[in-house]
Amino acid sequence: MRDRQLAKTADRLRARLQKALGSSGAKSKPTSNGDGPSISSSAELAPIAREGEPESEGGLLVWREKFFLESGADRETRRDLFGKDSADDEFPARFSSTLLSHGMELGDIALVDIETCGLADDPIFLVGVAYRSSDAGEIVLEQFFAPDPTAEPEMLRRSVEVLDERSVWVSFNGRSFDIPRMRRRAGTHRIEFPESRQHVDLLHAVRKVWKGELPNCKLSTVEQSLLGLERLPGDVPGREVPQRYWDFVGGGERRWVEPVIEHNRRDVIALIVLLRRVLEASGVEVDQGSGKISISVPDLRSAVTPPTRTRNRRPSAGNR
Amino acid sequence: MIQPRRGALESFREEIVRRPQNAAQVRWVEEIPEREPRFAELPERLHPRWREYLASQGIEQLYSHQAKAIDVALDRENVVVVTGTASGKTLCYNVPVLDEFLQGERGYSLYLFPTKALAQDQMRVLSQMISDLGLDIEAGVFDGDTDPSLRRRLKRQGRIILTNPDMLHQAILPHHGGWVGLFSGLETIVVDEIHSMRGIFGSNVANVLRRLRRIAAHYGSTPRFIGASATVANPGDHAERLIGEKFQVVDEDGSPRGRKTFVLWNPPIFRKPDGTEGRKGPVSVAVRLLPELLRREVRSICFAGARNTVELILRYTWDRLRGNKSMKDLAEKLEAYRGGYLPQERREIEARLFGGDLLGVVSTNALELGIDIGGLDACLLVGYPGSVASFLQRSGRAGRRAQSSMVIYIASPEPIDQYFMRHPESFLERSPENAIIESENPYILTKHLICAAYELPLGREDAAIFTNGGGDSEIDEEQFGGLLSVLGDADRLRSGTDGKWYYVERDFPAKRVKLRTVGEENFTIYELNSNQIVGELDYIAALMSLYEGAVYIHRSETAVVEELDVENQIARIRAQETGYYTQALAQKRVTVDEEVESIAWRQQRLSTGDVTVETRITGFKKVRFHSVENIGYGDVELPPIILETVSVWLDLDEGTAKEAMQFGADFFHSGLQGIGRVFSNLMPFFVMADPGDVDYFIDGRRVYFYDLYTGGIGYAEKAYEIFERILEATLEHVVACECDAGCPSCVLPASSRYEIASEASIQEFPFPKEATRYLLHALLEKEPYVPKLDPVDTGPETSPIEPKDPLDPKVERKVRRALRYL
Repeated sequence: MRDRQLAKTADRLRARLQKALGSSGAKSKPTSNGDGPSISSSAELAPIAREGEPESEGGLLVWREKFFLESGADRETRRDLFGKDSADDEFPARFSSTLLSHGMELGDIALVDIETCGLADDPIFLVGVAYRSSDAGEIVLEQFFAPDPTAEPEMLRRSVEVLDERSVWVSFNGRSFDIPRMRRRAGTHRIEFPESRQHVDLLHAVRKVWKGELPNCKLSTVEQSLLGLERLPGDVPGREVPQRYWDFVGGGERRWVEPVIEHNRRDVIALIVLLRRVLEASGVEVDQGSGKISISVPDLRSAVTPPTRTRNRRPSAGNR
Repeated sequence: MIQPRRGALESFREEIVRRPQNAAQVRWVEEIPEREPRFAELPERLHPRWREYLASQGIEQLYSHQAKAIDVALDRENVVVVTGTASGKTLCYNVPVLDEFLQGERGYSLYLFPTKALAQDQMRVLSQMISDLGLDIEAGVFDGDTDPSLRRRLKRQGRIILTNPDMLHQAILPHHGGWVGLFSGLETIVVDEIHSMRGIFGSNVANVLRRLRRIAAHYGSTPRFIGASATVANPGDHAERLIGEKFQVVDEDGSPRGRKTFVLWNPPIFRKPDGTEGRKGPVSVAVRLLPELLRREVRSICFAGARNTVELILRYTWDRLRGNKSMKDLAEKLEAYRGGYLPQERREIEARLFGGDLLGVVSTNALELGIDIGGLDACLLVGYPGSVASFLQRSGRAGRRAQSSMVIYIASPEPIDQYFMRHPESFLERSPENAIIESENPYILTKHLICAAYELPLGREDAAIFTNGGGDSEIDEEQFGGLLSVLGDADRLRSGTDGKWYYVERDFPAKRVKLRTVGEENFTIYELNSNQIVGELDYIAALMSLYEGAVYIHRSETAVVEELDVENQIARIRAQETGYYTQALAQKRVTVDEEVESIAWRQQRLSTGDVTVETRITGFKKVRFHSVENIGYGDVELPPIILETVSVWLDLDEGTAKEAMQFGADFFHSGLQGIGRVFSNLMPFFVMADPGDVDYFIDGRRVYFYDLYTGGIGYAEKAYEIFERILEATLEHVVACECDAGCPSCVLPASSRYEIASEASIQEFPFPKEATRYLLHALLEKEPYVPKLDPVDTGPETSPIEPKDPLDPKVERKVRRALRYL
């Protein structure tokens, strides 16, 4: 029963990918623009390389895909991936300028989201990172998956390589979750973890800017309510994630964990758009050293939220 | 602190101990003379502020053992201090630890105490010291009761963490990533009361400490250890096996000791209503002596074995005090103390004792370990506590500084007590027992390796840490890899491309590994009139004493158990005066679940395998207070207490039994009981167990010896392999015993601990020693022993069974079996 549902979900996902690829990626083999295989003339927003099968690298399974933010892609696909904001053709350009106005460039940024087995000292099994590859215009999304805990050190080493090269880390609750967890597990495996970078934690920003408008501040809520992304079909509740992973480790099939991997993929991609939304909210300022978000207009929210819901329990702007 | 009234003990001795009607009951009086203190200079290296601080505490010089221990610790060598109760062991570790802070270094220290109560107690001492020294150090107790905000603070900035082995095992080591500061800068590990870390508990703690050393090494620190111990026969050896490093032993006690008088007191014989004679119980004497001590303002502690006995003594003594106009105020000066009271209740009693508000306390072994309750002047021991070490610990509670003190050991009618009363002259010369642990026990090691793999993947280099317990252990460094492969085959661990072994299961392993055989106190006792929780008990104690209809006594108040909800772990009781108490009646049964191996051994059959030991509470009797009349019975329907374990058993063949039966059936059964007792008393030494870790049971012609540990722990298996050697030793022991007809040092029961009474005619058979010797000769195929005749000299030597090469299939079996219960 459940299997069939899962298979259906997988089919749907595949279909969506196909559609994304078919509508643009497949027919437009990128024509070179400068170095590398990437293009900008026929640049698309859609992924150009989300293969069904992951690569096997050093004991890890690595899902890797590339996509472009530049204009020219079909809106529907873009909306599927990035939400309603992206339907605007100006989206990529505006994004770059917004980043610039906060002293950042896309090339500086690593977006990160992890999946763990539960407790603070249980292993991490998946790290999703996205970054702009330096010599091409594309954004690379990589998901490093440890098929069992013996691969965790290699997974962390690969992730650390990516993080170490970027000066800005962007996450959702990564200040208190993703980064400390990675640091802790790296410590267990004696892997050197880079010193803290400028870290834009979008959870903190969302709390500051939209708390009164959202039923809660979970990333899935933000994705649906704020970014207008559809609910991910076949999504797995967070509490089921560890057991699915352990079932897989104990000899289960990969489709048990595929929804988790897809979920992670969605979350990493969503960070891109969410970052733009946050940076475009009026009054938001990003500290150049720490990456901490502050809001310069104290009554920002009273302007956007109904007064009845604003009075109680909202932390003041400078607080957390 | 209250000083004893001048001459109070002398007056007690004059008027009570020497009173003519008591004189017949006093079997022995022995004076241990006072001892002058030996002092030594403060080590020069210590910060100058110490002199000032110690002077403010009224300490001009250190005792010699303190100075020595501090000196060794300052050299960063491991040291274990083995001195008497109240000899100032605490200073031996607090001084070197705090000195580093005075010197401006900022390291971290971890203090381990066997119980939560001790950690709390030492925390009070430590924080006083820190503030008196003008230091600003974050120190605190981290245990199951610590609230979340303090937990966070201690993790973040705690410099001195006080905890217990269980907490270290379940909460700190597995989450070492949350304690990076502590483990990176760990300078000192204090392990207090290491004598209590013996047997199965000690073997578990030894492995926890190896995991601790491994984590410390991972973060680059090499802490020194400071151990403290009460007297055991082998302190240095014990410390080294427990911790796995070399130790210097400081055991010359420099503290002064006042004159101590030991009195051995045997309650009188009385005539029962049925005309037979019996000996009065020790409680009757204790409740007579306690008021006499209290009214002379002699600060006293009275130790008894069972919780119920403690309550009875309190109740009877209160009755006596209240029944006497001149003494009725003294009732408020006496309290009971035992496990099962709520923690805050215990803290309050401790504080009242320490502050001098209480003059006396009746306690179980809960006060045996070193909670500081101030010095006491008299100690009553109701019955033999089961070991010399424990006797010394308890009697050490009496005597502060140079004051004289008195210890009165009141014998129970049990054979062992009566034996000591017959031979009082040698009683005080008995030396304390060895503390035995075996850290490489495959059952225990397996569980801890899995916990360790969760903490950090296991590598080859870990072999040296986990297999250095010394002795003839079954698993050595070479076999470590083999052991890991077995864990890999069982898919508990998986080896990575880096050659390390990783934990690959979802469950948090430390949660399933318990360090102690006694369960947690997780049954709640709820009183229905007041709607309040009044106490807590562990599972077995709850089944044994909180069955429906049982009388629960709490600080002398009675209540009747209305419901025991086993599933939800709640006993609902209603307070009411009953006028009686209850005693459970139990039956024991052993069944074989699976015979794993069996051999023809001489004329008999010897087997080993998995068994289930079932103890069932079948009913209870109601006993009237004071008169001890039996006033009724009740039925109990409760699930049995199940112990699934491993046993070795011997089946006597019919011929051997028939031969013995020519002297009567009681002769045969008494002989078998004798073998059971002596063998089970000797077996711990041969299989590296603590006496409390094994038991025996006789069923017809079969005698079982089994591990008192769920899933077994290897003792019975080892006994199976060297059965003949232990049986030979059994015979030797019986022959060498100087007694005539049998005594608790040989064939009589040493205590009635778990013994389920067999038929009276067997218990009272007059020649148990002869019967035992006869049977042993028959079993070992020696020339037939003619009972009641002159004994043969000694049993001839037989060649010992060759020790075998591990890690063979048997060890592997143990490992796999251990896993089943993990």
